[in-house]
Amino acid sequence: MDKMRPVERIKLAVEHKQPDRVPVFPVCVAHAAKNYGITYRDYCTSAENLARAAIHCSRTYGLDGVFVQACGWQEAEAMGVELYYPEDNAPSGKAPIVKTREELKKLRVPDPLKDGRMPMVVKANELVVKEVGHELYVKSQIDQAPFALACELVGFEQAFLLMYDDPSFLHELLEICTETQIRYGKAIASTGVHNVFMGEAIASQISPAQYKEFSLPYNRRVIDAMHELGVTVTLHTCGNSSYILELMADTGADIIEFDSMVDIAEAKRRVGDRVCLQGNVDTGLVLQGTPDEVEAAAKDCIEKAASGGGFILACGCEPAPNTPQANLHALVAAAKKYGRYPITQ
Amino acid sequence: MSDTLKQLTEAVIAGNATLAGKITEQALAEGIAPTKVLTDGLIAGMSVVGVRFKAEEIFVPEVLIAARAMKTGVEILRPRLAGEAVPMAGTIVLGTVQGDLHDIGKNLVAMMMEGVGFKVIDLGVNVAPERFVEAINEHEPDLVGMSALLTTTMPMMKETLEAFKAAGVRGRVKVVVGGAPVNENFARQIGADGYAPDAGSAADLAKALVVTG
Ligand code: B12
Repeated sequence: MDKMRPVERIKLAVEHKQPDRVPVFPVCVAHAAKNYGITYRDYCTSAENLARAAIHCSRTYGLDGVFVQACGWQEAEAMGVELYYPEDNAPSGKAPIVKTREELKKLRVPDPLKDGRMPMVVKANELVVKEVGHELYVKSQIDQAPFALACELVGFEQAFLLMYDDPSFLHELLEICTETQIRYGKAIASTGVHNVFMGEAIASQISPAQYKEFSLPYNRRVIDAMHELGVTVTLHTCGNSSYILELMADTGADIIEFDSMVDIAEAKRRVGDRVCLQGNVDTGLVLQGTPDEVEAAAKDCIEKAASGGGFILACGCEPAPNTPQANLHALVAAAKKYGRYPITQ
Repeated sequence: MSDTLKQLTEAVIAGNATLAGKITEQALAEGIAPTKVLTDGLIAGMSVVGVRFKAEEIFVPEVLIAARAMKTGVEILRPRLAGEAVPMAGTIVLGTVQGDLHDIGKNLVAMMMEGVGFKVIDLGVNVAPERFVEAINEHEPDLVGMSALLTTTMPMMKETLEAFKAAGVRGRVKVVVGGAPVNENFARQIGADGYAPDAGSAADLAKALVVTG
């Protein structure tokens, strides 16, 4: 019944046009691994596994895109943060590595073709683009946006305190993080992906003024650099980012992905004419609710945000690993059932 | 209330640690009782911060600097307070449950608890049930606080409570739980003694539970 190619469908939405129907693209990470029947550790340490699991997930549900994301710590890892790798859970950093100016001076922008698992992610994207890039919209992490990456390098609370105690330290660190993102983004863009994804979960916990000073200008630089390469950008926050929606749009991001704590009708009203919105069915509901409840929540999102185009249906964040398949099927079915354009509010 | 204490409250709210330290000393020099400086100056300031945070007027960074300012004052008062025999509100063992690494909220709870006079033993994140049990045996706290931010780690709260029973320590402590996905209902279901939605109410809850014993 769907005639349009999925990649075209999302591209139109990103250009604020109306495709045949609302595209549907929940970004699955841990769930993709589980759904493919491998542990998180195996998923996030092999290009082959990462690519296969990502494609398999999109095929299972008939998603309009493929999401390639190993984990949220790999830029930090490539810069020297030691991670621990639980067998079946996302890795995370053991301890901050930038505590002093000396340590800051020693910090280097990693080489995406050599350091940590960055080359693995680049490789996974090559595989995905080759296999499905003509058909599905390929979105890859360059992940932790500069401020979020800085938090991983100095510690979350320390980063918050530095905003008051030593902003210039933080700004110097942010320069390196920005450069890291740009270089990584270039390497990933060269594989032919359609979109790169920057995450900043933590941005929902700082004030608009702080976002304006410590996140926005750096995000904008990364995004400008990606646009020069012809790649669009998704900016993602978890939590309640209502306070900063306009500022997130000011970064120049093409897609803003936001969590279920944000009122999607309000987001549409405030920034829907400037950016494509992606969201925002509650991941808790998708994990614990029934397919009918998921369908109703998805319908609600469509009714509030789809009119005029510029909308992609998704969850507010990545669904939990053990999310029932039936619930993700229900999400996709809702896009097909209620998302036919034209849609009026 | 004296101007000095009012200024101290303001310094805590503004998160100005240096100033909070200075005014604490000044208040003592003026002959204000250390307990009064603590309650009407430092803790009063932190309470305002708690209320504003709950009302979403301020964000985590502002709470952190306020807590630090309060701590600066408390450190100055500590030697003086010892003499005055202010009873400690009690001892609480805090931690984020196994499998969960979120700690920003838990750390705020720790600060507020310290603010109202609890001794806090912070076990950090990814805390296994056995480690909670060990800590109960070692520190003999009045309370245990567990934090979970993931739907997938909430069941670990129940498992931890079961480990308390199995180890025979459940009756020795009150257990409070919290974290974004946790609610009152869930707390009751798993047999915890209390739930609080934010750090300010967590401190109030802890005090209430210790009093009722
Ligand atoms: C910051 C953040 C992170 C940071 C954590 C940094 C750190 N050191 O803590 C990072 C980026 C590392 C992270 C990682 C992950 N996160 Co996260 N994260 C968040 C976010 C945006 C904010 C959490 C936060 O700090 N809030 C601020 C504090 C102040 O609030 P709080 O924690 O709720 O605490 C208050 C109260 O709950 C209460 N309280 C807290 N603890 C206790 C304890 C007691 C005893 C009491 C009485 C009260 C109490 O008082 C606190 C102060 O008022 C939330 C979204 C959200 N809004 O919750 C997602 C969120 C919690 N994360 C989520 C997920 C899925 C993850 C990851 C699995 C991967 C991912 N997709 O990002 C990993 C998991 C890692 C792991 N194994 O734990 C999901 C959880 C979904 C679910 N329901 O299961 C959320 C809800 C986002 C979403 N919508 O999907 N995350």
